[in-house]
Amino acid sequence: MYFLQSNQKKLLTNLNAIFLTLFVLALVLFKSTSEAIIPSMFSGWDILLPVAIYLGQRRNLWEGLLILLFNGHLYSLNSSAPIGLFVVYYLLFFFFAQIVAYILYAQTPISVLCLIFLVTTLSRIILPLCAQGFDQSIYVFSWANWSIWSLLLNTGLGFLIYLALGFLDRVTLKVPPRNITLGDVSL
Amino acid sequence: MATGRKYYLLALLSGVTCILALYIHVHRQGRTTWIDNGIISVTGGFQSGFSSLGQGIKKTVDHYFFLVDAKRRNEELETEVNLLRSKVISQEEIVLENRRLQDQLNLKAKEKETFMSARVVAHDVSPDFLGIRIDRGAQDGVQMGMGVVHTSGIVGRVHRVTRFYSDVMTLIDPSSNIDVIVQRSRARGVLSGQSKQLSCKLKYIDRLDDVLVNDILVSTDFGRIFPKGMLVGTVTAVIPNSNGILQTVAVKSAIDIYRLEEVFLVFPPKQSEKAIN
Repeated sequence: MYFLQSNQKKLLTNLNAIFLTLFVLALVLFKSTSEAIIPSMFSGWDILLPVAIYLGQRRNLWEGLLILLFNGHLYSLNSSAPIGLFVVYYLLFFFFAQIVAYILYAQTPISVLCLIFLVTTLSRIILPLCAQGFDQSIYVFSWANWSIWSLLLNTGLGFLIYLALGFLDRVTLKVPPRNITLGDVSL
Repeated sequence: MATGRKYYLLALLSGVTCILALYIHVHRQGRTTWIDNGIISVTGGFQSGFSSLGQGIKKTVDHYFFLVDAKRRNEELETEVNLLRSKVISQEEIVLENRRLQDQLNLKAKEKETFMSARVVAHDVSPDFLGIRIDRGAQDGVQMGMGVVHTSGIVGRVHRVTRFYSDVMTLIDPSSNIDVIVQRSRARGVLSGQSKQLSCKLKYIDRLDDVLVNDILVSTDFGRIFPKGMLVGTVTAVIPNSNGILQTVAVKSAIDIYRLEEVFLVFPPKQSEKAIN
Protein backbone atom coordinates (compact mmCIF):
# COMPACT_ATOMS: atom_id res chain seq x y z
CA MET A 1 0.00 0.00 0.00
CA TYR A 2 3.06 2.23 -0.13
CA PHE A 3 2.14 3.43 -3.63
CA LEU A 4 -1.04 5.15 -2.40
CA GLN A 5 -1.31 8.89 -1.88
CA SER A 6 -1.88 10.09 1.71
CA ASN A 7 -5.54 11.03 1.04
CA GLN A 8 -6.12 7.60 -0.57
CA LYS A 9 -4.56 5.95 2.47
CA LYS A 10 -6.88 7.93 4.71
CA LEU A 11 -9.90 6.88 2.63
CA LEU A 12 -8.82 3.24 2.82
CA THR A 13 -8.53 3.48 6.61
CA ASN A 14 -11.96 5.12 6.86
CA LEU A 15 -13.49 2.30 4.84
CA ASN A 16 -12.14 -0.28 7.31
CA ALA A 17 -15.51 -0.69 9.08
CA ILE A 18 -17.22 -1.43 5.75
CA PHE A 19 -14.57 -3.99 4.79
CA LEU A 20 -14.95 -5.60 8.21
CA THR A 21 -18.74 -5.80 7.76
CA LEU A 22 -18.27 -7.30 4.29
CA PHE A 23 -15.90 -9.87 5.78
CA VAL A 24 -18.54 -10.82 8.38
CA LEU A 25 -21.20 -10.94 5.65
CA ALA A 26 -19.00 -13.27 3.58
CA LEU A 27 -18.60 -15.57 6.61
CA VAL A 28 -22.38 -15.48 7.24
CA LEU A 29 -23.08 -16.39 3.61
CA PHE A 30 -20.48 -19.17 3.66
CA LYS A 31 -21.73 -20.63 6.95
CA SER A 32 -25.42 -20.52 6.01
CA THR A 33 -25.01 -22.07 2.57
CA SER A 34 -22.29 -24.64 3.25
CA GLU A 35 -24.09 -26.65 5.96
CA ALA A 36 -25.38 -29.15 3.41
CA ILE A 37 -21.93 -29.70 1.89
CA ILE A 38 -19.49 -29.84 4.77
CA PRO A 39 -19.58 -32.68 7.34
CA SER A 40 -21.82 -31.88 10.32
CA MET A 41 -18.91 -32.14 12.77
CA PHE A 42 -17.45 -28.95 11.27
CA SER A 43 -20.70 -26.99 11.31
CA GLY A 44 -20.95 -25.90 14.96
CA TRP A 45 -18.70 -22.83 14.89
CA ASP A 46 -19.52 -19.29 15.91
CA ILE A 47 -18.69 -16.44 13.53
CA LEU A 48 -19.13 -13.36 15.66
CA LEU A 49 -17.50 -14.40 18.94
CA PRO A 50 -13.90 -13.79 17.72
CA VAL A 51 -15.09 -10.60 15.99
CA ALA A 52 -16.55 -9.34 19.29
CA ILE A 53 -13.27 -10.12 21.09
CA TYR A 54 -11.20 -8.47 18.36
CA LEU A 55 -13.31 -5.32 18.34
CA GLY A 56 -13.26 -5.22 22.13
CA GLN A 57 -9.47 -5.30 22.14
CA ARG A 58 -8.57 -3.26 19.07
CA ARG A 59 -11.28 -0.59 18.74
CA ASN A 60 -12.38 2.27 20.91
CA LEU A 61 -15.72 1.92 22.69
CA TRP A 62 -17.98 3.81 20.27
CA GLU A 63 -16.47 2.56 17.01
CA GLY A 64 -16.53 -1.06 18.19
CA LEU A 65 -20.06 -0.68 19.54
CA LEU A 66 -21.40 0.65 16.25
CA ILE A 67 -19.76 -2.06 14.12
CA LEU A 68 -20.85 -4.84 16.46
CA LEU A 69 -24.44 -3.55 16.72
CA PHE A 70 -24.84 -3.72 12.94
CA ASN A 71 -23.10 -7.07 12.57
CA GLY A 72 -24.99 -8.54 15.53
CA HIS A 73 -28.27 -7.51 13.91
CA LEU A 74 -27.15 -8.95 10.56
CA TYR A 75 -26.36 -12.21 12.37
CA SER A 76 -29.76 -12.20 14.13
CA LEU A 77 -31.57 -11.79 10.82
CA ASN A 78 -29.88 -14.93 9.51
CA SER A 79 -30.87 -17.02 12.49
CA SER A 80 -34.15 -18.33 13.84
CA ALA A 81 -33.30 -16.81 17.23
CA PRO A 82 -35.38 -13.80 18.33
CA ILE A 83 -34.12 -10.47 17.00
CA GLY A 84 -32.04 -8.81 19.68
CA LEU A 85 -30.77 -11.97 21.38
CA PHE A 86 -27.45 -12.04 19.55
CA VAL A 87 -26.99 -8.28 19.83
CA VAL A 88 -27.14 -8.55 23.63
CA TYR A 89 -25.03 -11.74 23.69
CA TYR A 90 -22.17 -10.39 21.54
CA LEU A 91 -22.19 -6.95 23.14
CA LEU A 92 -21.64 -8.56 26.54
CA PHE A 93 -18.50 -10.25 25.16
CA PHE A 94 -17.43 -7.02 23.49
CA PHE A 95 -17.60 -5.24 26.87
CA PHE A 96 -15.83 -8.19 28.49
CA ALA A 97 -13.00 -7.91 25.92
CA GLN A 98 -12.80 -4.13 26.53
CA ILE A 99 -12.27 -4.77 30.23
CA VAL A 100 -9.77 -7.58 29.55
CA ALA A 101 -7.82 -5.22 27.29
CA TYR A 102 -7.36 -2.92 30.33
CA ILE A 103 -6.45 -5.61 32.82
CA LEU A 104 -4.40 -8.13 30.81
CA TYR A 105 -1.90 -7.94 28.01
CA ALA A 106 -3.55 -10.44 25.65
CA GLN A 107 -1.84 -9.62 22.35
CA THR A 108 0.52 -12.55 21.84
CA PRO A 109 -0.70 -15.62 19.88
CA ILE A 110 -0.84 -17.86 22.97
CA SER A 111 -2.66 -15.32 25.13
CA VAL A 112 -5.18 -14.60 22.34
CA LEU A 113 -5.77 -18.34 21.91
CA CYS A 114 -6.33 -18.70 25.68
CA LEU A 115 -8.67 -15.70 25.66
CA ILE A 116 -10.75 -17.16 22.80
CA PHE A 117 -10.95 -20.51 24.61
CA LEU A 118 -12.03 -18.77 27.83
CA VAL A 119 -14.69 -16.73 26.02
CA THR A 120 -15.94 -19.80 24.11
CA THR A 121 -16.32 -21.67 27.41
CA LEU A 122 -18.05 -18.69 29.03
CA SER A 123 -20.38 -18.40 26.04
CA ARG A 124 -21.81 -21.85 26.86
CA ILE A 125 -23.20 -20.32 30.07
CA ILE A 126 -23.97 -16.78 28.87
CA LEU A 127 -26.02 -17.74 25.79
CA PRO A 128 -28.53 -19.91 27.70
CA LEU A 129 -28.86 -17.12 30.29
CA CYS A 130 -29.46 -14.47 27.59
CA ALA A 131 -31.86 -16.85 25.82
CA GLN A 132 -33.95 -17.17 29.00
CA GLY A 133 -34.64 -13.42 28.79
CA PHE A 134 -36.02 -13.93 25.29
CA ASP A 135 -38.27 -16.90 26.28
CA GLN A 136 -35.91 -19.43 24.68
CA SER A 137 -34.93 -22.66 26.40
CA ILE A 138 -31.32 -23.63 25.83
CA TYR A 139 -30.04 -25.96 28.50
CA VAL A 140 -26.72 -25.11 30.16
CA PHE A 141 -26.23 -28.63 31.46
CA SER A 142 -26.54 -30.74 28.35
CA TRP A 143 -23.78 -32.85 26.83
CA ALA A 144 -24.17 -31.10 23.46
CA ASN A 145 -23.58 -27.70 25.09
CA TRP A 146 -20.29 -28.84 26.62
CA SER A 147 -18.89 -30.89 23.75
CA ILE A 148 -15.06 -30.68 23.90
CA TRP A 149 -14.90 -30.90 20.11
CA SER A 150 -17.20 -27.89 19.76
CA LEU A 151 -15.07 -25.85 22.22
CA LEU A 152 -11.83 -26.74 20.40
CA LEU A 153 -13.35 -26.10 16.96
CA ASN A 154 -14.62 -22.69 18.04
CA THR A 155 -11.24 -21.83 19.59
CA GLY A 156 -9.28 -22.91 16.49
CA LEU A 157 -11.53 -21.26 13.92
CA GLY A 158 -11.97 -18.24 16.20
CA PHE A 159 -8.21 -17.78 16.25
CA LEU A 160 -8.10 -17.95 12.43
CA ILE A 161 -10.87 -15.33 12.17
CA TYR A 162 -8.98 -13.18 14.69
CA LEU A 163 -5.83 -13.42 12.53
CA ALA A 164 -7.84 -12.59 9.39
CA LEU A 165 -9.23 -9.47 11.08
CA GLY A 166 -5.69 -8.44 12.02
CA PHE A 167 -4.65 -8.92 8.39
CA LEU A 168 -7.63 -6.83 7.24
CA ASP A 169 -6.59 -4.04 9.59
CA ARG A 170 -3.04 -4.08 8.21
CA VAL A 171 -4.25 -4.09 4.58
CA THR A 172 -6.56 -1.13 5.20
CA LEU A 173 -3.78 0.64 7.15
CA LYS A 174 -5.91 0.73 10.29
CA VAL A 175 -2.80 -0.31 12.22
CA PRO A 176 0.77 0.55 11.15
CA PRO A 177 2.72 -2.28 9.46
CA ARG A 178 4.85 -4.47 11.72
CA ASN A 179 8.31 -3.29 12.58
CA ILE A 180 10.29 -6.36 11.55
CA THR A 181 13.63 -5.05 12.80
CA LEU A 182 12.34 -4.84 16.36
CA GLY A 183 11.15 -8.46 16.22
CA ASP A 184 7.57 -7.60 17.23
CA VAL A 185 5.73 -10.82 18.13
CA SER A 186 2.32 -9.26 18.72
CA LEU A 187 -0.56 -10.13 16.37
CA MET B 1 -11.05 8.71 29.82
CA ALA B 2 -10.16 7.45 33.29
CA THR B 3 -10.30 3.67 33.68
CA GLY B 4 -12.80 3.81 36.57
CA ARG B 5 -15.21 5.96 34.60
CA LYS B 6 -14.90 3.64 31.62
CA TYR B 7 -15.95 0.64 33.74
CA TYR B 8 -19.06 2.51 34.89
CA LEU B 9 -19.84 3.50 31.30
CA LEU B 10 -19.43 -0.12 30.12
CA ALA B 11 -21.71 -1.40 32.89
CA LEU B 12 -24.30 1.27 32.08
CA LEU B 13 -24.15 0.51 28.33
CA SER B 14 -24.52 -3.24 28.99
CA GLY B 15 -27.64 -2.63 31.07
CA VAL B 16 -29.16 -0.17 28.59
CA THR B 17 -28.49 -2.51 25.63
CA CYS B 18 -30.09 -5.49 27.38
CA ILE B 19 -33.19 -3.52 28.35
CA LEU B 20 -33.48 -1.99 24.86
CA ALA B 21 -33.12 -5.37 23.11
CA LEU B 22 -35.73 -6.97 25.39
CA TYR B 23 -38.09 -4.02 24.82
CA ILE B 24 -37.71 -4.38 21.02
CA HIS B 25 -38.21 -8.16 21.28
CA VAL B 26 -41.43 -7.82 23.29
CA HIS B 27 -42.93 -5.08 21.13
CA ARG B 28 -42.02 -6.38 17.68
CA GLN B 29 -43.40 -9.90 18.21
CA GLY B 30 -41.25 -11.31 15.39
CA ARG B 31 -42.26 -8.66 12.84
CA THR B 32 -39.56 -7.19 10.62
CA THR B 33 -38.93 -3.55 9.66
CA TRP B 34 -38.05 -2.23 6.19
CA ILE B 35 -34.34 -2.24 7.17
CA ASP B 36 -34.58 -5.93 8.15
CA ASN B 37 -36.44 -6.70 4.92
CA GLY B 38 -33.70 -4.99 2.91
CA ILE B 39 -30.92 -6.89 4.68
CA ILE B 40 -32.74 -10.23 4.32
CA SER B 41 -33.46 -9.57 0.62
CA VAL B 42 -29.77 -8.87 -0.07
CA THR B 43 -28.41 -11.80 1.97
CA GLY B 44 -31.22 -14.07 0.69
CA GLY B 45 -30.30 -13.29 -2.92
CA PHE B 46 -26.67 -14.23 -2.33
CA GLN B 47 -27.66 -17.30 -0.30
CA SER B 48 -29.96 -18.46 -3.09
CA GLY B 49 -27.10 -18.28 -5.61
CA PHE B 50 -24.50 -19.88 -3.32
CA SER B 51 -26.80 -22.69 -2.22
CA SER B 52 -27.62 -23.56 -5.86
CA LEU B 53 -23.89 -23.66 -6.58
CA GLY B 54 -23.19 -25.77 -3.47
CA GLN B 55 -25.99 -28.22 -4.20
CA GLY B 56 -24.78 -28.52 -7.81
CA ILE B 57 -21.28 -29.37 -6.64
CA LYS B 58 -22.61 -31.84 -4.06
CA LYS B 59 -24.81 -33.59 -6.64
CA THR B 60 -21.93 -33.84 -9.09
CA VAL B 61 -19.65 -35.34 -6.44
CA ASP B 62 -22.38 -37.73 -5.22
CA HIS B 63 -23.36 -38.84 -8.73
CA TYR B 64 -19.95 -39.33 -10.26
CA PHE B 65 -17.59 -40.22 -7.42
CA PHE B 66 -19.62 -42.18 -4.87
CA LEU B 67 -21.12 -44.89 -7.11
CA VAL B 68 -19.39 -47.82 -5.44
CA ASP B 69 -22.54 -49.28 -3.84
CA ALA B 70 -25.00 -48.09 -6.52
CA LYS B 71 -25.80 -51.54 -7.97
CA ARG B 72 -26.40 -53.22 -4.61
CA ARG B 73 -28.42 -50.21 -3.41
CA ASN B 74 -30.50 -50.32 -6.61
CA GLU B 75 -31.41 -53.94 -6.02
CA GLU B 76 -32.39 -53.19 -2.41
CA LEU B 77 -34.57 -50.29 -3.51
CA GLU B 78 -36.28 -52.38 -6.20
CA THR B 79 -37.26 -54.95 -3.56
CA GLU B 80 -38.51 -52.14 -1.31
CA VAL B 81 -40.53 -50.57 -4.15
CA ASN B 82 -42.28 -53.89 -4.86
CA LEU B 83 -43.12 -54.28 -1.19
CA LEU B 84 -44.46 -50.71 -0.98
CA ARG B 85 -46.52 -51.18 -4.16
CA SER B 86 -48.40 -54.07 -2.61
CA LYS B 87 -48.90 -52.00 0.57
CA VAL B 88 -50.27 -49.04 -1.43
CA ILE B 89 -52.83 -51.27 -3.14
CA SER B 90 -54.13 -52.54 0.18
CA GLN B 91 -54.12 -48.97 1.58
CA GLU B 92 -56.20 -47.76 -1.38
CA GLU B 93 -58.77 -50.41 -0.53
CA ILE B 94 -58.94 -49.09 3.03
CA VAL B 95 -59.31 -45.48 1.79
CA LEU B 96 -62.21 -46.45 -0.48
CA GLU B 97 -63.87 -48.39 2.30
CA ASN B 98 -63.39 -45.45 4.68
CA ARG B 99 -64.96 -43.08 2.14
CA ARG B 100 -67.96 -45.37 1.65
CA LEU B 101 -68.50 -45.60 5.42
CA GLN B 102 -68.20 -41.82 5.80
CA ASP B 103 -70.84 -41.35 3.08
CA GLN B 104 -73.14 -43.77 4.83
CA LEU B 105 -72.74 -41.89 8.13
CA ASN B 106 -73.18 -38.48 6.40
CA LEU B 107 -69.96 -37.13 7.94
CA LYS B 108 -69.02 -33.62 6.88
CA ALA B 109 -66.31 -33.74 4.22
CA LYS B 110 -63.08 -32.26 5.57
CA GLU B 111 -61.64 -29.33 3.69
CA LYS B 112 -58.20 -30.10 2.34
CA GLU B 113 -55.04 -28.04 2.69
CA THR B 114 -53.08 -27.01 -0.38
CA PHE B 115 -49.33 -27.00 -0.76
CA MET B 116 -46.80 -24.73 -2.40
CA SER B 117 -43.27 -25.86 -3.12
CA ALA B 118 -40.30 -23.78 -1.94
CA ARG B 119 -36.56 -24.16 -2.22
CA VAL B 120 -34.29 -24.13 0.84
CA VAL B 121 -31.72 -21.38 0.26
CA ALA B 122 -29.91 -21.24 3.60
CA HIS B 123 -29.52 -22.78 7.03
CA ASP B 124 -29.26 -21.07 10.39
CA VAL B 125 -26.02 -19.17 10.86
CA SER B 126 -25.94 -19.89 14.61
CA PRO B 127 -24.91 -23.35 15.83
CA ASP B 128 -27.43 -23.11 18.70
CA PHE B 129 -30.56 -22.62 16.59
CA LEU B 130 -31.77 -24.78 13.72
CA GLY B 131 -33.79 -22.76 11.23
CA ILE B 132 -33.89 -22.67 7.44
CA ARG B 133 -34.65 -19.95 4.89
CA ILE B 134 -36.93 -20.60 1.90
CA ASP B 135 -37.40 -18.66 -1.33
CA ARG B 136 -41.10 -17.86 -0.83
CA GLY B 137 -42.27 -14.70 0.87
CA ALA B 138 -45.22 -12.40 1.46
CA GLN B 139 -45.67 -11.88 -2.29
CA ASP B 140 -46.49 -15.62 -2.59
CA GLY B 141 -49.08 -15.40 0.19
CA VAL B 142 -46.85 -16.78 2.95
CA GLN B 143 -47.85 -15.79 6.48
CA MET B 144 -46.28 -16.20 9.90
CA GLY B 145 -47.17 -19.46 11.62
CA MET B 146 -47.80 -21.47 8.46
CA GLY B 147 -46.72 -25.12 8.48
CA VAL B 148 -43.85 -26.41 6.34
CA VAL B 149 -43.61 -30.09 5.38
CA HIS B 150 -41.49 -32.43 3.28
CA THR B 151 -42.32 -35.74 1.66
CA SER B 152 -40.51 -37.47 4.52
CA GLY B 153 -42.32 -35.60 7.33
CA ILE B 154 -43.02 -32.37 9.18
CA VAL B 155 -40.33 -29.67 8.83
CA GLY B 156 -41.52 -26.78 11.01
CA ARG B 157 -43.35 -23.44 10.99
CA VAL B 158 -42.76 -20.08 9.32
CA HIS B 159 -41.63 -17.59 11.96
CA ARG B 160 -40.42 -14.61 9.90
CA VAL B 161 -41.73 -13.38 6.57
CA THR B 162 -40.26 -10.79 4.22
CA ARG B 163 -41.34 -9.97 0.67
CA PHE B 164 -39.26 -12.60 -1.12
CA TYR B 165 -38.02 -14.94 1.61
CA SER B 166 -39.34 -16.62 4.74
CA ASP B 167 -37.54 -18.11 7.73
CA VAL B 168 -38.71 -21.45 9.05
CA MET B 169 -38.24 -22.63 12.61
CA THR B 170 -37.67 -26.36 12.22
CA LEU B 171 -39.16 -28.85 14.68
CA ILE B 172 -35.68 -29.59 16.08
CA ASP B 173 -35.06 -25.91 16.95
CA PRO B 174 -35.01 -25.30 20.73
CA SER B 175 -37.83 -22.72 20.37
CA SER B 176 -40.14 -25.09 18.48
CA ASN B 177 -43.19 -26.76 20.08
CA ILE B 178 -45.46 -28.98 17.98
CA ASP B 179 -48.56 -30.90 19.04
CA VAL B 180 -48.18 -34.62 18.21
CA ILE B 181 -49.75 -37.99 19.00
CA VAL B 182 -48.29 -41.47 19.26
CA GLN B 183 -49.79 -43.34 16.30
CA ARG B 184 -50.19 -46.68 18.11
CA SER B 185 -51.57 -45.61 21.50
CA ARG B 186 -52.95 -42.11 20.60
CA ALA B 187 -51.05 -40.62 23.59
CA ARG B 188 -50.75 -36.87 23.10
CA GLY B 189 -47.75 -34.64 23.80
CA VAL B 190 -45.74 -31.63 22.68
CA LEU B 191 -42.60 -32.19 20.63
CA SER B 192 -39.83 -29.76 21.42
CA GLY B 193 -36.37 -29.30 19.89
CA GLN B 194 -33.08 -29.16 21.75
CA SER B 195 -30.15 -26.85 21.19
CA LYS B 196 -27.24 -28.23 19.11
CA GLN B 197 -28.93 -31.63 18.79
CA LEU B 198 -30.74 -33.23 15.89
CA SER B 199 -33.06 -35.12 18.26
CA CYS B 200 -36.21 -33.84 19.97
CA LYS B 201 -37.96 -34.32 23.28
CA LEU B 202 -41.59 -35.28 23.77
CA LYS B 203 -43.00 -33.21 26.62
CA TYR B 204 -46.04 -33.58 28.89
CA ILE B 205 -46.31 -37.34 28.47
CA ASP B 206 -47.94 -38.85 31.53
CA ARG B 207 -46.05 -41.63 33.29
CA LEU B 208 -49.00 -43.94 32.67
CA ASP B 209 -49.22 -43.15 28.94
CA ASP B 210 -48.34 -46.03 26.65
CA VAL B 211 -45.18 -45.06 24.76
CA LEU B 212 -42.58 -47.55 23.56
CA VAL B 213 -39.28 -47.34 21.69
CA ASN B 214 -39.81 -47.32 17.87
CA ASP B 215 -43.34 -45.90 18.24
CA ILE B 216 -44.20 -43.50 15.42
CA LEU B 217 -45.28 -39.93 16.14
CA VAL B 218 -47.71 -38.20 13.78
CA SER B 219 -49.09 -34.67 13.53
CA THR B 220 -52.51 -33.62 14.77
CA ASP B 221 -54.84 -31.12 13.08
CA PHE B 222 -54.71 -28.85 16.15
CA GLY B 223 -54.68 -25.26 14.85
CA ARG B 224 -54.94 -26.53 11.24
CA ILE B 225 -51.22 -25.94 10.75
CA PHE B 226 -50.16 -29.37 9.50
CA PRO B 227 -52.08 -32.09 7.68
CA LYS B 228 -53.33 -34.66 10.20
CA GLY B 229 -51.43 -37.94 10.46
CA MET B 230 -48.21 -36.78 8.84
CA LEU B 231 -45.00 -38.45 10.03
CA VAL B 232 -43.06 -36.44 12.63
CA GLY B 233 -40.51 -38.85 14.08
CA THR B 234 -39.75 -42.10 15.88
CA VAL B 235 -39.33 -42.69 19.61
CA THR B 236 -35.72 -43.62 20.39
CA ALA B 237 -35.80 -43.78 24.20
CA VAL B 238 -38.34 -43.78 27.02
CA ILE B 239 -37.01 -42.93 30.48
CA PRO B 240 -39.65 -43.34 33.19
CA ASN B 241 -39.40 -40.83 36.02
CA SER B 242 -39.98 -42.66 39.30
CA ASN B 243 -40.59 -39.46 41.29
CA GLY B 244 -42.62 -37.27 38.92
CA ILE B 245 -45.87 -37.69 37.02
CA LEU B 246 -44.27 -37.31 33.58
CA GLN B 247 -41.84 -39.46 31.62
CA THR B 248 -38.93 -38.39 29.41
CA VAL B 249 -39.26 -39.44 25.78
CA ALA B 250 -36.48 -38.89 23.21
CA VAL B 251 -37.52 -38.68 19.56
CA LYS B 252 -35.58 -38.87 16.30
CA SER B 253 -37.00 -36.47 13.74
CA ALA B 254 -38.15 -37.92 10.40
CA ILE B 255 -36.35 -35.18 8.48
CA ASP B 256 -32.67 -34.34 8.20
CA ILE B 257 -32.61 -30.56 7.88
CA TYR B 258 -29.15 -30.57 6.31
CA ARG B 259 -30.39 -32.75 3.44
CA LEU B 260 -33.50 -30.68 2.67
CA GLU B 261 -33.50 -29.07 -0.75
CA GLU B 262 -37.21 -28.55 -1.38
CA VAL B 263 -40.08 -28.21 1.09
CA PHE B 264 -43.83 -27.54 0.88
CA LEU B 265 -45.73 -24.71 2.53
CA VAL B 266 -49.09 -25.75 3.94
CA PHE B 267 -51.91 -23.34 3.15
CA PRO B 268 -54.85 -23.86 5.49
CA PRO B 269 -58.23 -24.49 3.76
CA LYS B 270 -59.37 -20.82 3.97
CA GLN B 271 -56.24 -19.58 2.21
CA SER B 272 -56.10 -22.38 -0.33
CA GLU B 273 -58.07 -20.51 -3.00
CA LYS B 274 -55.86 -17.43 -2.67
CA ALA B 275 -52.71 -19.52 -3.05
CA ILE B 276 -54.08 -21.33 -6.12
CA ASN B 277 -55.01 -18.01 -7.74
